[in-house]
Amino acid sequence: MRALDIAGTGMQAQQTNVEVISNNIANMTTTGFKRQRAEFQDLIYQNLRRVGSNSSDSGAVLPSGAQVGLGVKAAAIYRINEQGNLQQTSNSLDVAIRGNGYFQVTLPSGETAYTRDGSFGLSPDGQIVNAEGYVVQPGVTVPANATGVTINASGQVQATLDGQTAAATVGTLSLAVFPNEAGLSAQGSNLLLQTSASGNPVTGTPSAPGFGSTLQGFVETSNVNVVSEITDLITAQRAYEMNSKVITAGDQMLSTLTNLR
Amino acid sequence: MENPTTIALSRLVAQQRALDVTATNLANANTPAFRAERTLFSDWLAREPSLGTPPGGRSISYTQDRATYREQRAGTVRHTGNPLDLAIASQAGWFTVQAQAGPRLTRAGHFQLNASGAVVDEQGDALLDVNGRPLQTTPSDTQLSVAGDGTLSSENGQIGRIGVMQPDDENKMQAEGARLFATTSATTAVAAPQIVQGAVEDSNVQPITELNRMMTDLREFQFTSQIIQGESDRQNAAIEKILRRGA
Repeated sequence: MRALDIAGTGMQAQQTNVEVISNNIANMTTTGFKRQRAEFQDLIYQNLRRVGSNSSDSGAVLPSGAQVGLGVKAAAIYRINEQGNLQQTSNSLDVAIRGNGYFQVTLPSGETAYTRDGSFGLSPDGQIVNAEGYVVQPGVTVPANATGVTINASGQVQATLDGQTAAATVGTLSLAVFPNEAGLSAQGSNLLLQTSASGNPVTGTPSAPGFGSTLQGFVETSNVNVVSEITDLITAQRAYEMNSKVITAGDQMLSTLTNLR
Repeated sequence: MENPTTIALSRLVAQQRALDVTATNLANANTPAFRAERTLFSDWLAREPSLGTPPGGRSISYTQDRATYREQRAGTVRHTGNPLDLAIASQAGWFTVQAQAGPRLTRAGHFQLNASGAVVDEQGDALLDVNGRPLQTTPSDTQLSVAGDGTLSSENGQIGRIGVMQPDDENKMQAEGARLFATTSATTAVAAPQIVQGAVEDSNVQPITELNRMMTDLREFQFTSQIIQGESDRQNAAIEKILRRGA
């Protein structure tokens, strides 16, 4: 009675699907969050009669074989790296990326993590840090006597110092791009890490060819589309129920058999 | 004497496998580009010349699930927003990927770039172009776009043309799982494949049809098992009558 197991794999897959959807909905207001999608694959097949085999010694060939599939599995849960909406915050240290690229922050372990969450602040010694307090590379220090900070489209951080009219450039934010963004591994806290699937980062200044531009006073909202998440949720729930009906049908078949004698 | 029971049994076995096929279809209702499978029943004549059939009578025919076939109707195309999600909008045509065992066909067009910039599927198998070579991008290609005829290009110009092939006989395709198909028949390139970027093809499973089939599978199973039950009762009654007469 394979039908029971097959429907079981279907229910497990739909459960994964609902988990992914609920994570998307839970993060619909998370800055820089990219929505995820669960992808399914059919499992291996059992060949009861192999297609193309001979049905007689005169060389007649079966036009189609008999194959029974054995269910479904979750193949991948991948991020969709569409640009999120840009939301104005008027905070001078909020920086959104329009286009390609990630900010790089240094983790306490010394590793580099990548993020599109540009809601930055200052550390006690004036360095630009992210919401967790990790230093944003390449490390820009805003002088203590600065009265205003401007970040332009190519990532230059300019500080207006007390008593001076001209703004002084104190550093430049850099961006990193990857051959395969979907291969980055999510670490929580809006941070991503490089993997062997993502390839090596290529760093550069914002607005250079192939890199996005920076936009001061904005943050990038998540790219979760609530309407499509809810419709996906409905589909997933119904698919779950239908698989459970198959289990009921298989169960009734078995009970018919046990009641035979 | 035993024939009615064994004939009914052949139906029970086939019917159980039919439910397995329906269960697979429903389990894969959300698998991109999955094709619903159908069971094909046929009769199997048992000729027993030593017993002989009565004049004007018929030989016994058992049932068997002769074959499964796939419904080749294309599924609906769903928007995902991923630039390398590709759907084939025309009925004909399959992508070719270089799997370990050789080229395989798939219509589940969820592709991405690997660490070296080649266009690959979820298993890391390279998507092949019209000439059967992998498609390779460079790190400076950031805006990938795919035209309807399969031309993959970036801001630096054309990269290649994605191959869309059609096997001469779709029924000879063998599902291997992981949404891949192997084929023994020759393939020809499709001239106008109508590739849609940023979308994937859903499975063509119709839940209503499948639930209907599932209920039919179940009822026919129960109905056939009643024949076995009835035949068993008949044999019991016959034995009892014979015994009573003998006593």
